[in-house]
Amino acid sequence: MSPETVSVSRLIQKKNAAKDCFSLFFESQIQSSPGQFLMIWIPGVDEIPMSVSHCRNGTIGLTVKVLGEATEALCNLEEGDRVRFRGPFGQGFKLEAKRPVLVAGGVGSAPLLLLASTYSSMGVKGDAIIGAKSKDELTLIQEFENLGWNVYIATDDGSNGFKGTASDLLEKKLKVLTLDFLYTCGPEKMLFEVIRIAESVNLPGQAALERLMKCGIGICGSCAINQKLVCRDGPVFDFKELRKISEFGKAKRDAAGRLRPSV
Amino acid sequence: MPNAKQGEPDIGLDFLDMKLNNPFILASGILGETADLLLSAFKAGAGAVVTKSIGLEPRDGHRNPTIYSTPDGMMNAMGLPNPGIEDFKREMDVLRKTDAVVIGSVFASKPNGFSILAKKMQDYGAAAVELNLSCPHARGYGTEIGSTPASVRRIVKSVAGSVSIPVLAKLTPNTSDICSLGLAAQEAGAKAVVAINTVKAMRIDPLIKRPVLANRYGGLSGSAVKPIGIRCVYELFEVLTIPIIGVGGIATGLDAVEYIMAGATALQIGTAVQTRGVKVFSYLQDELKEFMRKENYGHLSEMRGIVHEP
Ligand SMILES: Cc1cc2nc3c(=O)[nH]c(=O)nc-3n(C[C@H](O)[C@H](O)[C@H](O)COP(=O)(O)OP(=O)(O)OC[C@H]3O[C@@H](n4cnc5c(N)ncnc54)[C@H](O)[C@@H]3O)c2cc1C
Ligand SMILES: Cc1cc2nc3c(=O)[nH]c(=O)nc-3n(C[C@H](O)[C@H](O)[C@H](O)COP(=O)(O)O)c2cc1C
Ligand code: FES
Repeated sequence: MSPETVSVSRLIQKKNAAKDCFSLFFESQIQSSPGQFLMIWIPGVDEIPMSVSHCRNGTIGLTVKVLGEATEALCNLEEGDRVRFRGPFGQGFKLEAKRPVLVAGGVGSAPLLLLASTYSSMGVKGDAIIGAKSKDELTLIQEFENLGWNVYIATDDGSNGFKGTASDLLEKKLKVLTLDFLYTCGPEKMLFEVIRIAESVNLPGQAALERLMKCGIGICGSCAINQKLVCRDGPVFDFKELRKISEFGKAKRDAAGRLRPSV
Repeated sequence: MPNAKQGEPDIGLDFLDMKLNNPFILASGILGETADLLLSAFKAGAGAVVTKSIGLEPRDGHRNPTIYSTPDGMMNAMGLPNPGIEDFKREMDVLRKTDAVVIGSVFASKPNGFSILAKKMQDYGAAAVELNLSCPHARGYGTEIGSTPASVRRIVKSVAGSVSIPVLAKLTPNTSDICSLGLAAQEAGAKAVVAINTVKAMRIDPLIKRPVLANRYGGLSGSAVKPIGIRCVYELFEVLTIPIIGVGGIATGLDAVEYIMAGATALQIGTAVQTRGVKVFSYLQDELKEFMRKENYGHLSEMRGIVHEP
């Protein structure tokens, strides 16, 4: 395992990406594969895991949903402010599809955007099913469209596109789309559903998971999901692997390491 | 001693009341919070595994950043996160149904707290209990209570009087005289000492203009502390009659040989589990055996403490 890379970067641009959600661009030489993550330290606040949503010539982009103290502080940074990155860490998505379909829930579209842009640069395009609670929480829709992907929208309240969850929409679309591989990221309940649907038609795929991360490098054990470490063995896992992980979709560990049913 | 095949070096160990396949033990705090992870280290070849240090109450630990990698080591200030001894039963119950040799690590701020925790670990089926008298980055615990012989004596005595499983005292290197700590532990009834825990340390990010860990200082581990660990084991071997478990920067079979020649009976592996992966436990066995084969050693005991003056 190579020594980790530590780098300090300045924020160069901030764009609103959805309600309470921002895309932040940093001047950085970090090269991240789609699905990998960084540990970002907001000085004086906290250090948290973030997927990479944009990565091109000297710029790295993150798309951050405000949930608590750290994500709020991150989204309140101003141009020129410094943060420190460790990473990239973890196993990213494999790039073997000829006809990929992406299923995103909420800010889960962040790592899938870097995946889509990487596929586009290889001349491969596909379909993106993007869901959110409501239309103002749909994240990065325009970016997927700009890449030339077919975007299908689902909102729980029907305020835009299909009324229902992204997994409901997937179930409908499976009958009409030609696909050979599925990638998904979002709330774990949704991942669980998406995988069930994909497996019912023998569609292989990968999902990106989240667990509480402290070290990010496979030593502290805080991101454990059964015998796997999400930071080192994941965050991207094959559907086949996930089927063997009994805690998937069922339980998570808190900061003290207690196993708790996931809500 | 387990019997060796003719010509094949024997690295098994009858140690305290435990039968270890090999001398390499997973150190406390490394993937030790869950049964599944402890089990995966055991399956990967660890002779025994030590749990994360467990306290009376659940603790979230320090805020991030809690880890910083240096070119030849690692600094951490996890702050003893743990689920608390009641919740940890769940993990121990899983381990109990396996053949894993599990050493329960515990921490508290008072002798009585240590005794309560040690008894629980015994009830949960731990083969031994390790007392964390040495964490350098949690207020009121570890080094703060483990750096005077009087305090070490009180804690070890209290625990040794309340459990029947072997009591191991894990010592701090952040002292001018580790021998007096080792002697205090031995006199109070410890069956072995473990040396060393991490070395108190700090790094600063010059661009961020802050210490790199949220807790400001942390504990240094990995190759950087190996010479300190070897010196400590050497000094302890000079004065103690109980066995010493060497820990600090062991990443290869040759590192282990250095510790054994300084006087270690068994070894613990922490940071190298991150740098070489959990497979480090099988690499270490192969590398140790290869050295013993080339240098004509049949048993670990033939190397133990050999660098000391007669
Ligand atoms: C590998 C990985 C990649 C990630 N990528 C992104 C990304 O690209 N964009 C992004 O916005 N976030 C991402 N996250 C999640 C992000 O790290 C958390 O949202 C963040 O750590 C929350 O910190 P906080 O201090 O703001 O909130 P906290 O104070 O820690 O939490 C606030 C509230 O949100 C809840 N919460 C915390 N984390 C999560 C979570 N992961 N899911 C659901 N609820 C949660 C807490 O229980 C609490 O109620 C990623 C996480 C991982 C593990
Ligand atoms: C991330 C991390 C967490 C640790 N947690 C504990 C702990 O809970 N209890 C303890 O006694 N030692 C703890 N230690 C110290 C190790 O057990 C070991 O003594 C030290 O790291 C030196 O060994 P190494 O160089 O092989 O890592 C921890 C070390 C690290 C790196
Ligand atoms: S976050 Fe520490 S092991 Fe994964």
